[in-house]
Amino acid sequence: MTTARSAVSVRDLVKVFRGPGGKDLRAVDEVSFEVRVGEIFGLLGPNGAGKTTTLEIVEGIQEATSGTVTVLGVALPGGKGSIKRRIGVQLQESAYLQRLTLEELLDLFGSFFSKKVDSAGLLASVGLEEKSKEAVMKLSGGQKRRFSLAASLVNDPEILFLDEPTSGLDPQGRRSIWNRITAYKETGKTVVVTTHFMDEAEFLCDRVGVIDHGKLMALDTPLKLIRSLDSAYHIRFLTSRDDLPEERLVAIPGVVRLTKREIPDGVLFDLEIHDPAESLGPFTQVLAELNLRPDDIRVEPATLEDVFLAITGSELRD
Amino acid sequence: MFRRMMVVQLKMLVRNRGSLIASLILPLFFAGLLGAATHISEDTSKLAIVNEGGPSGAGFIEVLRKDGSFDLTLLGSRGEFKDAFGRRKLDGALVVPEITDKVTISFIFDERKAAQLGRTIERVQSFVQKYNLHLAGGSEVVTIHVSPLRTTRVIPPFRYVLPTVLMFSVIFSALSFGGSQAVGYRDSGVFKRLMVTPASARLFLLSEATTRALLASVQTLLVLGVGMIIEAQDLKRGQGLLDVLPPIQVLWLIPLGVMGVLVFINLGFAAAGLAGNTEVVSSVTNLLGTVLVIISGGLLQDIFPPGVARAVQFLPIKPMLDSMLSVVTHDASPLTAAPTETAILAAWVVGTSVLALSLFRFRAPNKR
Repeated sequence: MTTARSAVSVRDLVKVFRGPGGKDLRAVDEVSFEVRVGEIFGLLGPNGAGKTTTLEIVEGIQEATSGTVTVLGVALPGGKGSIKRRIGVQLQESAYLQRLTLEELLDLFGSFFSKKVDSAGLLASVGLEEKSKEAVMKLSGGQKRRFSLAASLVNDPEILFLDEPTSGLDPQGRRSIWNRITAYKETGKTVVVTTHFMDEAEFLCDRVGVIDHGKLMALDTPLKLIRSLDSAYHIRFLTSRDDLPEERLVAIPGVVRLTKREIPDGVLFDLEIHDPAESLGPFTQVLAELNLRPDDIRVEPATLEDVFLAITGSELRD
Repeated sequence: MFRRMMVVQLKMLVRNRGSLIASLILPLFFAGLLGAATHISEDTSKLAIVNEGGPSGAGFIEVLRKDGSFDLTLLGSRGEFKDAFGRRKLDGALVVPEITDKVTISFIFDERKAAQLGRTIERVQSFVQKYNLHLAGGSEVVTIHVSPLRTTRVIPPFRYVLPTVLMFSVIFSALSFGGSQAVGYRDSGVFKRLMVTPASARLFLLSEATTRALLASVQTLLVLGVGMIIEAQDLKRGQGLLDVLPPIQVLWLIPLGVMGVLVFINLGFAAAGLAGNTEVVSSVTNLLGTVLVIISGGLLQDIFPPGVARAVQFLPIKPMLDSMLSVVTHDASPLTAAPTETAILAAWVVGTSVLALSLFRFRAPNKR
């Protein structure tokens, strides 16, 4: 059901493509979710999972094979003409008319909307004010992504759709984009973002849907998704000894699984545990009993990657 | 929105220097080449003569023969013209009546070879002037009636070449953008970016077509400029540059050229709507353009069966060429000089516009 505070509502969405040899490819398979007004909602999944197709249907670029999509209370595809005036979209590909300058492009895109944000201010907000007179074809990859974000904000949209916004960027570039997105969210606007970067989803998103093979596998806040794992934390330690009695480590209360891996610096042990409060005391006791002083020891929370691997049972396909 | 899109399209056109220069240089190249060709002709023109004037007509023909500019073939009657032209060996034919105080000699030509007639008509006109001056004591005894063009004035040879030059520039300009560049935009994601805005594919088509129409207008004016330069070489003493200024009606070539551009751009957009990639669109539009030029341009039409030759009249290039030719030879608007051809061309513009608007999409068919 669409609630009063729902920005996007997707129900039983299916998209089938005709593949090579006439074989149907089910890119989106019975996906349902809701995006609340004012939140950053993430679709997390590997390349080819179906998240871009899902997003493009919601943006009105593609039409669903079946299912219903409502954006800002307007049903698609019928209302996509009016919805396009109220949303901002950053596509995965940053493609523009190459010989135009950034300023000209923003003016052009602004002319499509009744509400238009000042071009200079937009460029300044993504650190491109000095490039305003340069042709878009002369920008670096990172600059193009930042410009693409600015272009998506030209109509001060109520919902911002971002498809892999930091793909191919260096850490500084990613952080710059993240800051701009969170600043936008702080104005009360809604953001829907797809990504295959787990840290990005964790940093940005209020809620995350994990999607793979066209199916929505899980949906919750990053923290709750991680907490839903059997092992929400890791104790990782490095030692030069490879003769440790593994049964003693596995017997520590709260330990779910033990893996070990030889690396150039020694042997890296990974104890997956439910709760550090339950397991850390017994763990240090075992270390003392074994007279073991690890070269490096860390207690780390599980990540969305752990969630994804636990849900799909496979490695990420990047 | 349209105005902004138009301005943007013009900026891109101007900044794409390579394409712009090619678009402007090519018609100038053709104009120069073909224009020069009108000044390099055979030593003599081949004329058929029918003497309907008895001894006085025979005397005129004898003077004509001695002029040395003509290779004459005497025919028994006008009925033999068709057969003589059918063998395609003649530049024209003269019907000589009895030479009296005031006489009009009919110059008849094969309409299909109108574009090559400039030099022949010039020679005939020149001969008549000499005849009147030297043999008739300066009085205008003989005048020439050219049919079926129904004009008695001298038309600079270059103006017969104009339609062909403009046809080539129209096709090149339309095909160099048309569908292939549209598919390029689509493949690179430019159209996809427009799809998430309120801008429509229709708006894009309209602004692009308008931009190309402006370019075609500039091309036409440039070609006319080259024509004036070529014609200025024929200036005689006492004549000024104003004497080679074409009549104002020649500006009708601009809308005719624009109509031609629209037809081919629309065909390219329609092809882009159906085809999946640039190579297919490029091949289809080039093939289409080449075939139309060959069958409509007069190169092969003489050997076509009558049915095909008739059908060619209804394809876009032939009406465009014919209406342009009528404008330059009659000094009249295309609606007056060639209403049927202009109507056919207009129908093509409307038809292809509907086709382009129906078929063209920002997104490729079944694109994932």
